Amino acid sequence: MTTRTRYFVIVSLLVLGIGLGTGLVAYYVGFPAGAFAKHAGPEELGFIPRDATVIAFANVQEIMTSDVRQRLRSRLPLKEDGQRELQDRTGINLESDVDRVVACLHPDTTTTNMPGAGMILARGRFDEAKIEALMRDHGAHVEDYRSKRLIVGEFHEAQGNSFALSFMEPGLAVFGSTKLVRSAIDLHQAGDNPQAGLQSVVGNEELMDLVHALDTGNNAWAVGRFDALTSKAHLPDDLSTRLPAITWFSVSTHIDGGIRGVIRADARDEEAANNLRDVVRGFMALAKMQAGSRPEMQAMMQSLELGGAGKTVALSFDVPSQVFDAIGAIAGQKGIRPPVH
Amino acid sequence: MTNAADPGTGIVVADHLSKWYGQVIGLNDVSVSVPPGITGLLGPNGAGKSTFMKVITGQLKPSKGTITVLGEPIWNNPSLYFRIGFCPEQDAFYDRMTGLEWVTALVRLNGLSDGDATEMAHRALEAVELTDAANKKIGAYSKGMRQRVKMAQALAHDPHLLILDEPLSGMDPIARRKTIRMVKDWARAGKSIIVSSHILHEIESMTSNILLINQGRILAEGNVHQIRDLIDEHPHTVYIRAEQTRGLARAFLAQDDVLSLRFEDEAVVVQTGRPDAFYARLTDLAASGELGAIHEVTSPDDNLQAVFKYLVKS
Amino acid sequence: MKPPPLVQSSVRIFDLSLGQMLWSRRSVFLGVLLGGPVLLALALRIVSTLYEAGFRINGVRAAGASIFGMMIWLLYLRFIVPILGVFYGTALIADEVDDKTITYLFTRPIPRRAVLFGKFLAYLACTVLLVLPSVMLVFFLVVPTGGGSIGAAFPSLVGDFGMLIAGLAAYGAVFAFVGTRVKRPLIVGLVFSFGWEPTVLLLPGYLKRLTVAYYLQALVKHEMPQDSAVSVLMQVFREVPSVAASLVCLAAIVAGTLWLSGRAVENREYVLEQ
Repeated sequence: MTTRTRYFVIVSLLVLGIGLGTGLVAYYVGFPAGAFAKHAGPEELGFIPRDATVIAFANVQEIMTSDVRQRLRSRLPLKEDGQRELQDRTGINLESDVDRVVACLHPDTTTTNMPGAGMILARGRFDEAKIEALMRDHGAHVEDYRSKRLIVGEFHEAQGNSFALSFMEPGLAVFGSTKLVRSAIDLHQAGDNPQAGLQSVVGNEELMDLVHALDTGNNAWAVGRFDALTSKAHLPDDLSTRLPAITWFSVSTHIDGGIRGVIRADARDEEAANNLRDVVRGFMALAKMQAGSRPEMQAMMQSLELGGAGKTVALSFDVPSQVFDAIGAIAGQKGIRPPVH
Repeated sequence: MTNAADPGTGIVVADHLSKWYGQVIGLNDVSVSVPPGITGLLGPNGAGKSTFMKVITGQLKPSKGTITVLGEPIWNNPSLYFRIGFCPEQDAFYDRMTGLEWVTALVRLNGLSDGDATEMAHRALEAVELTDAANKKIGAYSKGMRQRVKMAQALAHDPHLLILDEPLSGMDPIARRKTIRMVKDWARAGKSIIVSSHILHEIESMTSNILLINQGRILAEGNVHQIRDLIDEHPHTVYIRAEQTRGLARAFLAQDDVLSLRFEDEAVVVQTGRPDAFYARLTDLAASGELGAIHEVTSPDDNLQAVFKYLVKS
Repeated sequence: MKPPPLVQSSVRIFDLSLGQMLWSRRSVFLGVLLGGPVLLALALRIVSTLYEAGFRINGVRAAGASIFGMMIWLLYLRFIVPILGVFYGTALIADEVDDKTITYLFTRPIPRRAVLFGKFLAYLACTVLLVLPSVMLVFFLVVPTGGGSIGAAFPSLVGDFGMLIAGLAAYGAVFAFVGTRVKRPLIVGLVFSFGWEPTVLLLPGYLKRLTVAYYLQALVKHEMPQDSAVSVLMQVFREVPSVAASLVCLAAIVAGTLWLSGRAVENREYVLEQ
């Protein structure tokens, strides 16, 4: 073998070795987020514990200013008393003060009669003093946790399921199960540290794969383990056995002029996926029949598209703005009037 | 050398050997026993020389009859190649390899270790005086160097029988003289050599034992001097590619034996009545370097063809 | 004196031939052939970075692993591997004959079949050393697009490597056999790969067992998009034997065709043009 050939063989084997080595590391250890692709999802995911079963996101600002929202607001008699009361008591105007929210569900093993614990992380502009005062008025007390003020409510303390609120940083409110809020503060302060048993959901490869797979540009989405949800939901045996064998699900929508989105489910196996496809096809056929001769509804039904590969079943939809006009018209026929500004 | 196959003494023994390619006859009922020492196989192109060489090197299977080399049949008998070295006629190489890499790689096929193969390749390249160019790519070798590196791969494993197909083709006069000397040295060292050529002068300078072959048949065998006179009756053409063809032409024209002379591209083509004397002077001229480098000396086989025509008629 | 064992002789021919094969003009063609998928993967990666909506199949964003699976199946296994097998396999001995260098190998104390086996090993090494890094690059470029995970897809890459090596070996051996037996091996090889195999695979019955692709398909583990032309084809191709049976059959194809090729080389006379 000539020297040049030997060099080629060495370089080629090196490329293969490095590639296989990298793949092995990725397989056994996982990659730090962003090693090969841009980290998906909002940064607040970094404060959600790794073993969350469901995570969700909504870009509140985009949704509030969307055309759909404006149409609905102009055509439907939405009561604004509740919102005004919320603003009076907490200082939060949902229309303008909340930019985005991230929420999670966690399989809380400390309780058996609840589907799990939850937490919401909201990014926006908050009157911290006013909110704390309100909570104190309702029996909450303030604790110091890792130099953060933790306002702990007493609501389900007896069941070990208390809730808490903390402003982890200016403009970031965390509200939910006290345990989860504490975890969020831990992650906020120490970051991911798997050796210390502290890891965010960003390191949960299965869940993050689903987040990665979502269309970018969505302003609301949720992903999670479907089987974990149903197992905690205490459903009747009869119903739980009829549920399709779905392991993971994701829902993503883009709300603007209309609402378009994809509902995706990963079945346990290909057979289960085929069964689920059959069920969805049946529903689609039924829905198309129900749509009848109404063109705006037909357009929505026509947009339903079943897809996916292997164990994945996906249903995409597109609800055009005319549908919301039709809903408004129906409301009008029933004598409901939109609010006068 | 005997006409009948003599397996007792011959290094190559053919018994009623025929080889044909479809309708074309390459060798026609050849029975011959080649004795040890140097044997020249002389014949014009298309005479059957190459076919004979390919049969005795095991590249072709006899269509009829038998052939034994060093007492064993050669076809599908790889172990015999430990004792045979073959320098083929074709100018074909792995051009991207250096001379040393190429010879080493081929010698390794004899089952030698890398170290031993490299050492043997070095020795062989030294024997053909290619040590300085051992690490140059074969693609950059001159015609003469390429001929010599072919010979190096043939003799590197120290074979008992060397089969050289047109080994002097394209060599310059000095390399030609050196190669002839080498062949004689190998014979003195106890090796048997079969060398083919279409130039009597080349064969004559190495051996007096010749095998004359034409149209697939052995026409004559024995002492080269018996046909020497016949050759001299025919002018001998020599093609010389050199740096200063004009100067060479002037020097040749001063000689009595030069019958005619013409130029072709960067070469001068000379017809001589006394090839021995002409080649001797040409070698001296090349060695002195007075008239620049002489790159290549070849001889078309027209003159030999004429002799063969005469032999066939007689 | 006995000639060196077949394996040793084959390894030495491999050693001699690998460089010749790697630095031949054919390797330029090979480079272009393998550079294509890498460039395509690079383009996919750039587009997926710039155009965040990603690639869609049936309205659903295609995951990088699915695109990678399609590339392995359509580009590598159904196109590049057979092409390499045809061009290299048929030329194993023919190249040496055309270059008139076969004489040097056939006049050495080694079995003639060792020349074929050694050159086959060189072909396998040459193609594997070029194809696998190309696949590796495509993997790292494509899989992370659309939210794919390197770690999750890694086992399938290892499987793909095995499958590609099996494909290169099987096609190479078959076409080495064609090259030693047939007068116009290139045409026969191309007709076999791109005429016979795709046609027969679509037909019901046992004829498909006379292809290499039939056995290779059992080793394809990638999920293909549903309700697409590719998936329809895959459903047809899904009539495949078990993995174990496929591996046994591929091994038998390699061993059988190589043995027959070796026999042909042992008995054939190679007349070099003067």
